[in-house]
Amino acid sequence: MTRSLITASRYLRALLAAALTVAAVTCAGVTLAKTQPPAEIVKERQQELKKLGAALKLIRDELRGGAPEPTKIRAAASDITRAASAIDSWFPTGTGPDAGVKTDAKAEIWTDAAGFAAARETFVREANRWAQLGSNGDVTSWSEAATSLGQSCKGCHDKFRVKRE
Amino acid sequence: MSAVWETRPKGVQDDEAVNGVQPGEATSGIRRSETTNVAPNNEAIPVVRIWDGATRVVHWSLVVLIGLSWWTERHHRMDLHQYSGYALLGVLVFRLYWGFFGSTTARFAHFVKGPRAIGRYLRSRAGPVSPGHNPLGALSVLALLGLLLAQVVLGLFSVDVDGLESGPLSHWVSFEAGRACARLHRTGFDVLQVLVVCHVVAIVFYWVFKRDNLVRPMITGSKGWNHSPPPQVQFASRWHALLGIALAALLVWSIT
Repeated sequence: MTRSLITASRYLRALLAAALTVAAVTCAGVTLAKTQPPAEIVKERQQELKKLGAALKLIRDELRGGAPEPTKIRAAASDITRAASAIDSWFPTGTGPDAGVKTDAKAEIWTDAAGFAAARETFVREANRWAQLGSNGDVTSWSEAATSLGQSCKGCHDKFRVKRE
Repeated sequence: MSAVWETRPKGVQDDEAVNGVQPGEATSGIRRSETTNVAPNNEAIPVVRIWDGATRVVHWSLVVLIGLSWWTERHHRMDLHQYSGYALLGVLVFRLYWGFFGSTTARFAHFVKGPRAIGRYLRSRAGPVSPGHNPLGALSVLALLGLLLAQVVLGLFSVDVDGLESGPLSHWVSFEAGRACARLHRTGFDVLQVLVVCHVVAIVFYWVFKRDNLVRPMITGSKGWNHSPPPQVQFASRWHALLGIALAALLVWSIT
């Protein structure tokens, strides 16, 4: 009786070890498959954020003269809404200051994930307003929306980005 | 030189007397600011006028505006920062103009010297041979004016990362070029701090080791002078100054 119990427990342990190994390998495989090198992710992220900055600048520059070109505003608006739909995937774990890549992303993005998510959601909400504003808007609504979009950028940058200038 | 400065307390009245003796800045012409001080102990100390009012106002405006620019940036008052930059631009444009059309000691041609003159100045232990900036100080003047001008121009083109507070000419450049301007604007301020420290250290050095107070003349305009040929300083007229102010104002106005 005791002997059979010991045998059973050995079997169980072996089974458990095997299961764990399989699980670990599977997880590693999945992670590896999903992960680009951090350097690439950071580079892409920076390019996307620069595009976003350029889009907002374009809108502001158009508004500056008082006679903005609607086609230009529309193009910039679509860049902004595209950024809003993708930004969720720009900050995967392991692409922060510890990744050994030059980045202005602060560690707080991951240590204060809830705070970051809230700041991001504010941006997404402001950016999504441009889906309608791009096609039907006037100087006043564009100006107002550009300022509040800029403030949502700032809301995140102040907390989660290293200021270099 | 030290003999002059040991009798400084009397000098206060003397400078005022000198300024009283020379009323009109309106008339341009060679004015040999050679006035003999009649001190109670009958020690004759020539006090000469070195800096005109415009140069002194420029100098102290730069001090105030550099401080204001720094403070407004630190406290996120970018609206005021922008005005401070405009004021700086105006002062700098005026100073450049004054460097060509102003009084003798303000003119670049008067104080900017080649390396040989700088070497000669460094080797000599005597005081300044000509009034105003010495050949080494001239480099500091050029560096400070050049850097400040660069700072103002960079600020005009700087793009703020959030598109909220970009410079007034930022629409002339791309987002990335404007961001580069903002970064250089930041680096420029670091360099400026180094130059300002050098400037102040040099003044303290002259004060302590050479017994030469450079701050006082920059406030009063006059300086004790015991070298034998008294300096010949020609002071530009008020109309010259007004023209320069108009020029600077026009340029700033055209940008805003």
